[in-house]
Amino acid sequence: MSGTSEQAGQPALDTNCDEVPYEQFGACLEANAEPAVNRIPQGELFSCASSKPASSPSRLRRVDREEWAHNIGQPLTKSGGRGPSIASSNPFRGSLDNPYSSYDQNNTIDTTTLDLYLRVLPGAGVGWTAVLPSSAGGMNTRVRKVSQDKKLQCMFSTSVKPDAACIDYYLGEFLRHGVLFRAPTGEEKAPLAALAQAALDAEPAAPTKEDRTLTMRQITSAAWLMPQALFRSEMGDGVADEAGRQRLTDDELARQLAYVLEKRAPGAPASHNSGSGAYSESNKTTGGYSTSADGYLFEIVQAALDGSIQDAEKRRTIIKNHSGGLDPQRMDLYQDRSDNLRSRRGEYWLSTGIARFFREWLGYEKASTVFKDRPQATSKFDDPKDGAQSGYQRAYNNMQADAFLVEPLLVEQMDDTIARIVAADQDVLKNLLTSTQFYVPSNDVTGISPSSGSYGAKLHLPRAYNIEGDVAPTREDRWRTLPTTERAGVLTHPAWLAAHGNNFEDDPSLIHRGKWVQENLLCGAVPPLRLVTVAAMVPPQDAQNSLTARQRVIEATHNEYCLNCHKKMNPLGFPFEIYNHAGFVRVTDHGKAPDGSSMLENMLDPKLDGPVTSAIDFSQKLADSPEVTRCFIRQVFRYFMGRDETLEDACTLTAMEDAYTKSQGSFQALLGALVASDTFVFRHTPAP
Amino acid sequence: MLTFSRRRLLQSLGLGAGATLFSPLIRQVWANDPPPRRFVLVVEGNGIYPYSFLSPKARAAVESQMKGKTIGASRILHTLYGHTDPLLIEQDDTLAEAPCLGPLAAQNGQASLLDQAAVVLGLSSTVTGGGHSSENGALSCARGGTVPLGPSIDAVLAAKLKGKMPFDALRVGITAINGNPLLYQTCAEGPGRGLPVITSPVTAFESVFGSISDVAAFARQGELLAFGQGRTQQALKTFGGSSRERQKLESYLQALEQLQTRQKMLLGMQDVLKKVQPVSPATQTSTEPMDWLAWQFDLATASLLGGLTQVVVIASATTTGGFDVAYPDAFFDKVTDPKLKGASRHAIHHAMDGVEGYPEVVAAATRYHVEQIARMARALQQTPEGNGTALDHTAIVYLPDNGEQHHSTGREWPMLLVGGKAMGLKADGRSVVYPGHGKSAKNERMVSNLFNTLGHMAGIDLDTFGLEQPSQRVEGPLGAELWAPV
Repeated sequence: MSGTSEQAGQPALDTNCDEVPYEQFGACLEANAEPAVNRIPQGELFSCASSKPASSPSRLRRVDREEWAHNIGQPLTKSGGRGPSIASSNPFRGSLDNPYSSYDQNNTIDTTTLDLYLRVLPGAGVGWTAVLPSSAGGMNTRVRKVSQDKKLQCMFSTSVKPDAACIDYYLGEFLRHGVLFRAPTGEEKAPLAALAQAALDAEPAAPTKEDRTLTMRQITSAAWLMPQALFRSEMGDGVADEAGRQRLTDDELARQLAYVLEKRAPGAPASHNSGSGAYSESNKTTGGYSTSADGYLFEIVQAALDGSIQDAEKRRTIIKNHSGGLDPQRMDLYQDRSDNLRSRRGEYWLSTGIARFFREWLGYEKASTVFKDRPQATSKFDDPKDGAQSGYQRAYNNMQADAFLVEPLLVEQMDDTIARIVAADQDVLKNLLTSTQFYVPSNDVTGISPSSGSYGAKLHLPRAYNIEGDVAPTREDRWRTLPTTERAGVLTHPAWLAAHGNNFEDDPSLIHRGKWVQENLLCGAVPPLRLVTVAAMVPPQDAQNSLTARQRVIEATHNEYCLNCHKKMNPLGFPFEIYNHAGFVRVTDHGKAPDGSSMLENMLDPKLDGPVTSAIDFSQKLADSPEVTRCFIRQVFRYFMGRDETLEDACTLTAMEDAYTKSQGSFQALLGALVASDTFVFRHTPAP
Repeated sequence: MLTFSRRRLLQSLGLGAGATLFSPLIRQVWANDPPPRRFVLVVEGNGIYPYSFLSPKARAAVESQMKGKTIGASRILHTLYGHTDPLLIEQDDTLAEAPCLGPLAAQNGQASLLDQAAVVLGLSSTVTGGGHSSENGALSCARGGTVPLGPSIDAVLAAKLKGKMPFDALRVGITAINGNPLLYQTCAEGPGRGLPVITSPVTAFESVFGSISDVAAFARQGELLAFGQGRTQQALKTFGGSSRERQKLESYLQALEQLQTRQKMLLGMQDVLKKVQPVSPATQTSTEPMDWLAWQFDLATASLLGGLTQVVVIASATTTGGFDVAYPDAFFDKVTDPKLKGASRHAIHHAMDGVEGYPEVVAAATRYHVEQIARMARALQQTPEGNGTALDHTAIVYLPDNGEQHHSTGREWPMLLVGGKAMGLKADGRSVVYPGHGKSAKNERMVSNLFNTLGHMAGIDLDTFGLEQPSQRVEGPLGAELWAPV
């Protein structure tokens, strides 16, 4: 790690290091390595020397796509392969330039986004506007509260015009449970009431149900255009303390805590799951809804109402109660996935916020979209006679995109593998990096014709894990302990390897994997390509097809100029060369034995220095390093605070480390320490 | 199956027999304004092979400088160039024989566009990095990536040309990414600020023509926007946070106001909109990406003719995640093995030299884009404007989003230019072949030089667009071989 604390963390300069004198070339690269936050010396971040009380910058956060869909009681995707819900088509995708989706540096609403949002609003809000609750079937019916609260029904009656009391009650409930997730102020409610009254007055004398639906859509759409509906406040309130800090209000704190756990507001409404059949009166009482009538995370709602949300211990308890665990029903997926698909998933669950952290930190969601040519290449399943559309290729494609809806996706297999470790809540990071228990797909082809396209696509699903035999369609058999010579932890999971691998088996995947380890497990910084002018191309494969990816990378990067940067990546990527680009275990590598050996030098933690033979012992080394644990804690801080850490956060980071260490590696304790901290609760207005 | 009919747009616009229906509309729009300056950027994802635009005469001119070597079957040219001064091939009667330029020729009663086009080869943009896609780099002349490092040229042009039209720019396209109506990785307002491309034809159509497809719904939207504006103004009055956070609310307020302004304009242009509106994609059933692309061209052409915008971006399967589109059966005519038909772009490229007919599939895709451009150009050409036609006041630029091939190096960016004569563009059937990357420090020209040229055509003294290293570029627009100030 280079750089002083004065210069560390500053944005990289817009420069080209090729243009400085060569004796300054290396320093130029170091000074501009990215991400900038990783240039802060890690030791200083875990040294609680400051007496300045901790806080975070105040801000507004624009809602994101998933939050908005769930908050209005709609699924993100419809289950059963019927495509995304209207609500999920909302345009509030986060900026790709943020390291985590929870960051909100510049998210606002531009004209095109607003234009598209207006087109989504009328259809998406059907849960609060449907005059005929069963008309659209399944998901597109009313949210649970609207269906069950008889006092709300007056708004849907076309025979008796809703009076002011009816409007007031509806708006109160709607704003509280469908828009603001707190009690509305009079200033917020009155203009909407006026709009509602005007819309009702504009109806024909004898309105039809269609007329009323249009009216209801106008009312709900207007509410969802209120800035308070689109931008979540983290401003704090009341008198500032001596340090200039303001405490978040009960409602602000409740929402922030809810978003740690879920992509939902506290009390976000339950909706009906079409996977349990079409809407019916009986379903309302037999479990057709995604959660209780009180909505999601009701414990947080209550804590905001009685003020106990301000109690640090209460917040820790809430984290503990809602982080994850064992649930064969997988109710966490109830709103977005059908019963059939949920039953194929592992039985351990994580809150969507925590699950999302691991997906984003480990970056494995990309495994669904990276094209893989001959995914079985160089593995024991590789047969040159297999064409481009072999069963292995189709099986792999199916795990990426699930064309046949047969088994969990590759990404979901990794979700479930991680969930088991995190839910167990002991030595979480160590187990993540070393566990040999993987949740693998079944290849049960019972009832599928061998001539069917889905036959081969299913038969070979487990091959990515080097499993030759069959895997029965039970959770018990899907949980496999893989050989310790082949796999150890998440960095050896096919999804992670695929996400950080290239298209072809002899591509330089190792550079991408090494770079990821450098930046995300060691919190190191790597000079970006724009600092230099290089083609960054590996040499072409030779006519005999004899070059391994490792050889091609060494050939391309062995000179002193290239090694200025590649010394930070290549040694960390070589160990993964025992796997191919798609995560299959190699058995041969262009006529040679797969070579995952590497010599680690000048590592942040000197204990990491020395030889490794492959990703297996490399992962074990990483798991034993306290500096890797510290980097993990920094990533947790970033995701759940939605910002980079600074030296002013050192006491909070230290508290998180203490909690994690004293609890023998409990993720809940780690997260609990964060939500209990002043960093989480207090805000200050940053200097312009 | 490719279901798109080339005649559909003309039929829907009433332009089948060279009618001048839109002439009065355009004159009305521009009566009290400076002459129009329209720009259309057609950006194709994942590369255009330079040989696609190489006519026999241009080939001969290039080979004459290659010291006895020939181009042969090579699709990539920059490594072969032997010249160090720009080659100018004028009055090229073989232009239509270039592998993908046939649609410019007169055919089926349609006028030739060969005297309205120019081919530009040899431009480089290595700063973008090439690859499968340079993402924001292509239109920004900056290091490629999902985070824009500077404004894209369309944003610069739109900022200059925005005026009395509802849309500063229309950005539409197609993508292989399912279910994502907005694509932020091709256009940018500035560093870190992507501008959305609408990749759903239905959504794009409704954005432009929604006011006439359901006037009542459009009016209700106006009420909603006014409500949102009022609530946001109120929120700003009491907002006590930092200026950066305040900016988020102010941007939202600006969007509410701009959309109201746009809607008022659109409501005031109902007659024009009704006359120019193409067939709604919502009434179509095709899921073929190339049909979707044709619909976006329809929308763009109608928007230009209706005076709704002066700047258009058509992003055809741009970005790393979005380029791998599927092609219609018709593109696979030359593929003899039936099992290998239907592959998508990525697979085709990787098997190009081993599968009979695959090079022709890619050529068919490029030719299809030229065909769409020709349809747009002819519709503009048939519309009198000033002393010429609407095409004279419209420069269409067709370029790749990464460079010269599937795994591009960014060393050559072949371009086809159509129209724009009233702005000084010498699109008269010529080909200009610059020396190519690294061949001449004095005469190497980059994509940024072309974008500088577009800037000058728009009335901007743009000499240093993009983030190419100053030491490596020649500042200013392209020279008299392609453009002259008007």
